[in-house]
Amino acid sequence: MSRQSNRTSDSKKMNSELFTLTYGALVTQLCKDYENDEEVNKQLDKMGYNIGVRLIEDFLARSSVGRCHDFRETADVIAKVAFKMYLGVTPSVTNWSPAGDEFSLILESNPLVDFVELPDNHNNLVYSSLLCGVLRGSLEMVQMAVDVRFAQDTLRGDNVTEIRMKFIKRIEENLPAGDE
Amino acid sequence: MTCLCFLCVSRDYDELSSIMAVCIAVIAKENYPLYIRSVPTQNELKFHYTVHTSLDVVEEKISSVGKALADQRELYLGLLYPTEDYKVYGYVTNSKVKFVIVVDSSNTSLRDNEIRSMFRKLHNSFTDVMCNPFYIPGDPIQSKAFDSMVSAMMVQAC
Amino acid sequence: MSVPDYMQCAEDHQTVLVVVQPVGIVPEEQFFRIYKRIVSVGQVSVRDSQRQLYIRYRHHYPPENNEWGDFQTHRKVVGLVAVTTCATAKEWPQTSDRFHAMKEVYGSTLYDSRLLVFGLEGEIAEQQRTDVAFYPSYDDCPDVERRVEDFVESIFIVLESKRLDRATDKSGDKIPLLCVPFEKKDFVGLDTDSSPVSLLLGVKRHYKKRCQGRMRKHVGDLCLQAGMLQDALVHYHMAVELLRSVNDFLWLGAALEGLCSSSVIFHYPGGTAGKTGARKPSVSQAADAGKRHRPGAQEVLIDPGALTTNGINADTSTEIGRAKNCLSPEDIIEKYKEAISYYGKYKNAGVIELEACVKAVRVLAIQKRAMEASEFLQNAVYINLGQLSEEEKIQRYSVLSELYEIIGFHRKSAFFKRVAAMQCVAPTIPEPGWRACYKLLLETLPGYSLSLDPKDFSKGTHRGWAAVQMRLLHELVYASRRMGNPGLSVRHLSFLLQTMLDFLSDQEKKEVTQSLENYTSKCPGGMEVITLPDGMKLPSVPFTKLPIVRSVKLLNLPVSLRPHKVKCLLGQSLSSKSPFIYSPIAMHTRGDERCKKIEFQWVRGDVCEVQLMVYNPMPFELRVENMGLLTSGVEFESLPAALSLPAESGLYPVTLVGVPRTAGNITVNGYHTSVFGVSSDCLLEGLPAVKTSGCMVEVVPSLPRLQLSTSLPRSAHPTSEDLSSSVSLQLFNGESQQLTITLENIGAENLETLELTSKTLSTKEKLLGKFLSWDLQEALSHLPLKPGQSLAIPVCIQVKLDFSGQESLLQDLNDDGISVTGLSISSPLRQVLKSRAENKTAGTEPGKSEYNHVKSLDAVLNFKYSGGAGHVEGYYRELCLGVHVDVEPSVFFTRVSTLPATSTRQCHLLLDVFNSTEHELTVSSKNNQDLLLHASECQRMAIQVDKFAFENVLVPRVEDPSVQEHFTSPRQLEEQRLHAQGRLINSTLNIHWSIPSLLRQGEATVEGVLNQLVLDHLQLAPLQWDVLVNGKPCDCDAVAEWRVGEPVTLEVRLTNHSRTAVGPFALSVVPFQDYQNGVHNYELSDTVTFIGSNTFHINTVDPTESSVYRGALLFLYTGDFYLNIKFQDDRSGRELPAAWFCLPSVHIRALESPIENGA
Repeated sequence: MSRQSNRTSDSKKMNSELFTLTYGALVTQLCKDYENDEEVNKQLDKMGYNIGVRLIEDFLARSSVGRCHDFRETADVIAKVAFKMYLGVTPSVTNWSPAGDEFSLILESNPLVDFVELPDNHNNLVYSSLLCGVLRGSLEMVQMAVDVRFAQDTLRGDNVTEIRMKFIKRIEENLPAGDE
Repeated sequence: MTCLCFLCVSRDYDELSSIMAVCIAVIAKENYPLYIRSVPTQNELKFHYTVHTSLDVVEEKISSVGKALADQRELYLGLLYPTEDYKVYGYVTNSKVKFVIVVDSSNTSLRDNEIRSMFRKLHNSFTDVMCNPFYIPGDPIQSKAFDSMVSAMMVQAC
Repeated sequence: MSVPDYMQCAEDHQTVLVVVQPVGIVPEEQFFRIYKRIVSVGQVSVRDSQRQLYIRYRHHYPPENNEWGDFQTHRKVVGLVAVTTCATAKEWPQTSDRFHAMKEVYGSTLYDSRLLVFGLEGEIAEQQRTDVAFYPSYDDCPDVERRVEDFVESIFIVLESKRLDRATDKSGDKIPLLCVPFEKKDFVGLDTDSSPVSLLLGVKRHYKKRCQGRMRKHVGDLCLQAGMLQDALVHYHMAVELLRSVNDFLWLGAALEGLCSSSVIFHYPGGTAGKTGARKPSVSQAADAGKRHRPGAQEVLIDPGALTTNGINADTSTEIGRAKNCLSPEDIIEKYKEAISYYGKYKNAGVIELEACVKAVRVLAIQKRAMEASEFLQNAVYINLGQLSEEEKIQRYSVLSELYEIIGFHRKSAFFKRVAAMQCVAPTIPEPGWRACYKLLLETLPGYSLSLDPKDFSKGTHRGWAAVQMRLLHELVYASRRMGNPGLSVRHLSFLLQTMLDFLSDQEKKEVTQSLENYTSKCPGGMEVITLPDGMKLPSVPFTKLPIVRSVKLLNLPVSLRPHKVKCLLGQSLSSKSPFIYSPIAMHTRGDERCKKIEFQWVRGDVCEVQLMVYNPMPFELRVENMGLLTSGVEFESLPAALSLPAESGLYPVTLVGVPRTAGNITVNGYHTSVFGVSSDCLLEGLPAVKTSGCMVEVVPSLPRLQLSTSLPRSAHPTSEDLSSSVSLQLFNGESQQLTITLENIGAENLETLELTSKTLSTKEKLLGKFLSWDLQEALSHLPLKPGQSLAIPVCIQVKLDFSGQESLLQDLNDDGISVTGLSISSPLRQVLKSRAENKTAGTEPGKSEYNHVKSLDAVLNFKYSGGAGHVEGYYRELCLGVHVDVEPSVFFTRVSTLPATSTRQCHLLLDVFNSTEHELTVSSKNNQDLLLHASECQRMAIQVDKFAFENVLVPRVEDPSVQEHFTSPRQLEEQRLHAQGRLINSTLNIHWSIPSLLRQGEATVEGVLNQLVLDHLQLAPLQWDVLVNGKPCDCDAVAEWRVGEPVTLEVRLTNHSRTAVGPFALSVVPFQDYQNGVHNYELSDTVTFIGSNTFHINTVDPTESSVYRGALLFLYTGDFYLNIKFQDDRSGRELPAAWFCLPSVHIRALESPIENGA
């Protein structure tokens, strides 16, 4: 817990434009390299996954949240703590499935897509699919296999950005998590 | 212009602002157009000529202003020149990107401040365009956001 | 006044206006020659004073402008020079009359006039007249200039007198009111003294002031013209004061303008017109400014009395200073502005206002105040001069354009120039001036940052104001077409298409190309530079974007045609110019990639290919005709291609071909196309975007060319790139096939050399025997082979792969317990030889498939050939024929074993033969009857063979030094030995198979089947043992019969064929009886006795020697006895292979003695 004190509340300020532009440069470079939107989505997701599996350590150390008892609690932690901490936004958690294994994160604004306008030739690009990877990767490290996808995206003209998360299963402790 | 009026019936006629741009252009550092849009009722090429020739004045102003106030430069260049029908205003960013707004001369109740604020809006919007990772600097601007902002200025409270 | 003089500038105010005009019919050329000479007298130093008089000449001057002469005196025509041709004296009166009539036109203002008469000689010419000069001809008039100078001086005298007259008007005199034409009617009857209306004193005073002011201004003008600048300034200042007080705005403006003009003349002695020669810089004007004005100043100093007496301003004298009266540069502009604003109040003074604007602009241009100048110009643009003629409009726009140009507003200038150009061809003009329009349009190019050289656009993306540039280009196209110069239209339209392609909409692309095709149908576009009459050059416009070429790649010749260099012994082929073996400098020659020489070579006379990757950017199908290569270095016959690219095609490969006609280095510089009727030469150096891996390649001298055909069908297999062709066939293992290869010389050179080699490609299969064999002698006898001839080479294909079967699969055949181990030769022969009728079908299915596995063999036949000039240079070509054989298994030897034969010199080779085909198959071997095998049947086959003396085979081979070199390792030697042995055995066995149903037959070889053990058995022992019973050799089945009781001589002879001495040996003879039931009875001491010892001793036997031991034994009873000759002492025997001691067994049948003598 001593580590925790090191990590807490020293949220360093970073220029959001620089952050947004950095991400934008990454995506456009991928677009240039792969020339295929689906492939870019995959790469972004993979990168996100790799971020997620690392970021979770930082998150747990910093946030000092304990073990979640159910998926609803997880959802709240993601929305109110994690998004707040890393992206400075607090999405709302809605659209729970009756079974309670699926919910939506509604982002009023997505800091990744400031300034971004998708050109017509990138219809299939899921610009922020990195986020899906991050969520998937970090939850996998806490033994939760989830399916994450974008249901709505302001870039495609939707009013809000909606990330749909579905719980798949608990991962057994000793199952080695492959680094894709 | 008359046909544009009915487009904005819903707008508040009492609004102070009464400027309506008839042409808005963004010109690259190398003096070629990145964006030029004019009211559809008019001959577009005419505005190309108007804006193109206004660059003479812009260049002249930049070079003379540069001599006078090297550091604290006013981006707004003011009225570039009046023609019979239009008034042409200019604005230049520190990166030498120029904005030109052409307004109808019949708009007598012009206020410099309003023109300034239009340019500021244009500048902000242009900055957003530049920040779009998919925009390649130097290419013609095709942003829808920019387009709609420009449209708003052209229709604004006629 | 309606005709503005746009050329006017401030300093023109100090000039006097002289009109030079022809009288009667004067050839234009002659007139202008004289006019030029007259004009050269633009500045005259007046005698007796240091003043200068400036003259402005005009050959046309509208008389109505002259009416404004009082307003500004430089507008007044004060001199007239008439030029006339008068051939005879008879014409003279008429000419003279005309001259006088002309004088009348400007009569009111003229100070003086001259008539220059050319061509008249004689009486009239003799008379001395001041106003007329006679010259015999236009070529003979040396003193024209002097005459003009005299004339100017006379004008000066009048001017000076007028000035003095005006300046010294007494105050008592009535000062007349000077008027401009349109004022005249206003002031009719407004006479101060006589008019009853002017009772009011105020009005009167007002009027008087007005008169005074105007006069003062007028005097100022005269002073300025007379070269008294300072005086002029003073007068102008006073005039301004006076006129301002009476709000006489028009004249106030004129006074202000006068002030400005004087100041400009003072500040800018170089003039403001910006044209050289417009005003001769007077002798050190600037420096002498003060001096120059001094005389005038002095006169003013004389004047004050007059001024004061005038009662206008007593204090003027105080104002007489030097530069004090002169306006500062800033003030000049201010005053101009003011003047123009006053002029602007009068509609009729539009021309004056316009001219003032122009003058001000010229001043501002010199002051480099472009912004203010542009304001003046802007104002000038809006001055309405009423109805202007089209010509005036053109002039006006041109001047505006020019003025914008001088203040650095190039775009604005271009704009007005373009307007002027459009005006030239306005619909209202009855005869549109397309030429003028075109010329003006060309002049606008720099203003639109447009050059007509496509090279300027090849660098990266287009960066210009495309919309306006495109418009201009369209106009140029149209104007040039209307000019009747379709070539020019094509050039401009091509340029438009080439440089503006990215900005054209799909519809526009279509339209432009359509009209281009229309034009080119009349006048095809080419690559020549078009030179315009004014010297401007229009460079050619190659269509590098129609289509767009992405990469250029020179292709190597097809493998079979590639030339190869014979490797020189001295390594001369390595062209190293440097004396150093290694030089790091050479490594870093980062020359142009394009100039890099390509590794491969082309051959003279052969079709060579270059591949381009092209892209059609048009929204419709693009037809490219006559597309060919542009090369240098070698004479090259390009074979043009026509292609049609689909709309907005992706990258599309196009192969351009050509034939080099000479040898040397060839460089591909670019390509040639013909699109829409425009032919273009696109050079690669101008296309930096094109990727190329080098464009220079060596062309080697011509070589013959062979075409290969075979008696067997071509392979259906995809042949590898290296092969020119290949044949493929199916053979059963052991089968052979004849292949006839026909080579036809289809080139132009004689075939002089031909070599044939073959290479079996790496295969996992073990190949036995020679796969491909041929005889080239016959073919070579046909050389040299002339073009068109052919020769045939027979090649034998023989496949002999391993015939061995896998042991494990056939274990069920191995049940008879035959053992071939060790020296178990004691096995009874009968047992072994009993026929084996049992037929076994091959076991399991997987096993079967294993045997049915088709193996393949690949080999390449390589023909190296050369001839002609290329042969001399050491080049040859290679033709490769791939031979692919699918080998189907025929028979397998699943198991091999040996059995000793009755003779020690022979043995039985037992082969289990398996028929893996699906056909009935017979197997035959040396002196054996055929063995019939059904499909998948396995039978044993026994072949009796003489043992082999392998030593004899191997000895010479091993001693061969070359062989020893090759097979240095013992293992290789051993393999080699085995191989040779196998071959020997095989040739002896001569096993053949045939499939009657397919009429196929072939060999089968046991090579590779034989193991060491079998080989040992087959080997003839080097120690040859002969056993003789009673002197008769006893071997195998031979039964020696002998009588009981008689001693039998037994002779054992050892012949040593080995290379070492052997022995001594001790042998013991052991007799036994075989009861045929597996029981051997060795207890025969009572039955058989030895005469002597039963142990034989054989001494050391040297190679090739033999040694005999003789003994005898006695059979006491009848019966069948066997003698087993054994080695008693193993000591020496162990050192040699057991097989060497293979002694025949002896079978002796002891019979009853015919002489029954006592039992």
